[in-house]
Amino acid sequence: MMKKKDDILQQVAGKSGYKVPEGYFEQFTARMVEQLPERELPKPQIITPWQKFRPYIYLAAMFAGIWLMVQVFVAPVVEADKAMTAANEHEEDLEEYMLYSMDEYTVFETFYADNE
Amino acid sequence: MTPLYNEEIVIEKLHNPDTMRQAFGQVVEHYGERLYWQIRKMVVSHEDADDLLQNTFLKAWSNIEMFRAEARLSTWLYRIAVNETITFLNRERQRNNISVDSDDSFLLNNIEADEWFDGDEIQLRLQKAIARLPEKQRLVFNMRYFDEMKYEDISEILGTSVGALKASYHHAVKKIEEFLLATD
Repeated sequence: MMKKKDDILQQVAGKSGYKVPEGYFEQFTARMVEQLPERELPKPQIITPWQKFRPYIYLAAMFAGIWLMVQVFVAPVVEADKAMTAANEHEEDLEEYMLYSMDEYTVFETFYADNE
Repeated sequence: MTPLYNEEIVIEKLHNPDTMRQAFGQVVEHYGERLYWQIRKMVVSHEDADDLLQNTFLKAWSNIEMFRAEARLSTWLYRIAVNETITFLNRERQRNNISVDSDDSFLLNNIEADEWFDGDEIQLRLQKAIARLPEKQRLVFNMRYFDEMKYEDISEILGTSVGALKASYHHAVKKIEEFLLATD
């Protein structure tokens, strides 16, 4: 059975029995190229230095903005706090100085005046 | 005189707007015949094969920038041709009210009268046997038996493993054998 089939496949020897008009393939190439529509390939994108560095510049600008905001809004508050603390410290020093420099009579007189 | 075909150079030229048309002409000349026979053995009619071959090259031309040099041009073109052929066969089955599961022997109905078929009685019987195969087996049989393509190349085109292709070819040969014996 297998031999019979092999015989046929060997007899046919890869020939399909189909044919084409004379000179078909030569004419086909010319015909095909002629009917190809005009087309343009998308041009490769040229990257300018600005486009290349733009993300880094934006990033730097963002950090600069944050730094500026800190300088404008946060730093003055911290400075004011520091000045207040320093002022309070000076006030305590002044009180201490005054206490040491006063005699007992003046101290009692001051307490008496405060209690009144 | 036709310049020698060098795939690497042709691919390079295909990606250059100034040389792409001339390079594509070389591609058509180089692959046209092979692709034609692949299509023709599936659709039988010369006129249909001619239309499908033109569609294959037009699709390739319109999508040439999609082709990546790391793939093989032949594989890419064969894939387009196979897709075009399968789409055509599905359309023909619909047009002739033939179920998707049926074979494509309806394509051979008028083959004896076809002026572009001059096969002898044995070739005709073989064509009738092939037409009864399922579509995929027919593709594999044609590529392997007529075009003597390597299983690895068929695998790349059809996206099927070599093992599955070997099995497919084996089944195809068996079915052809059965048909030939039954009609002897």
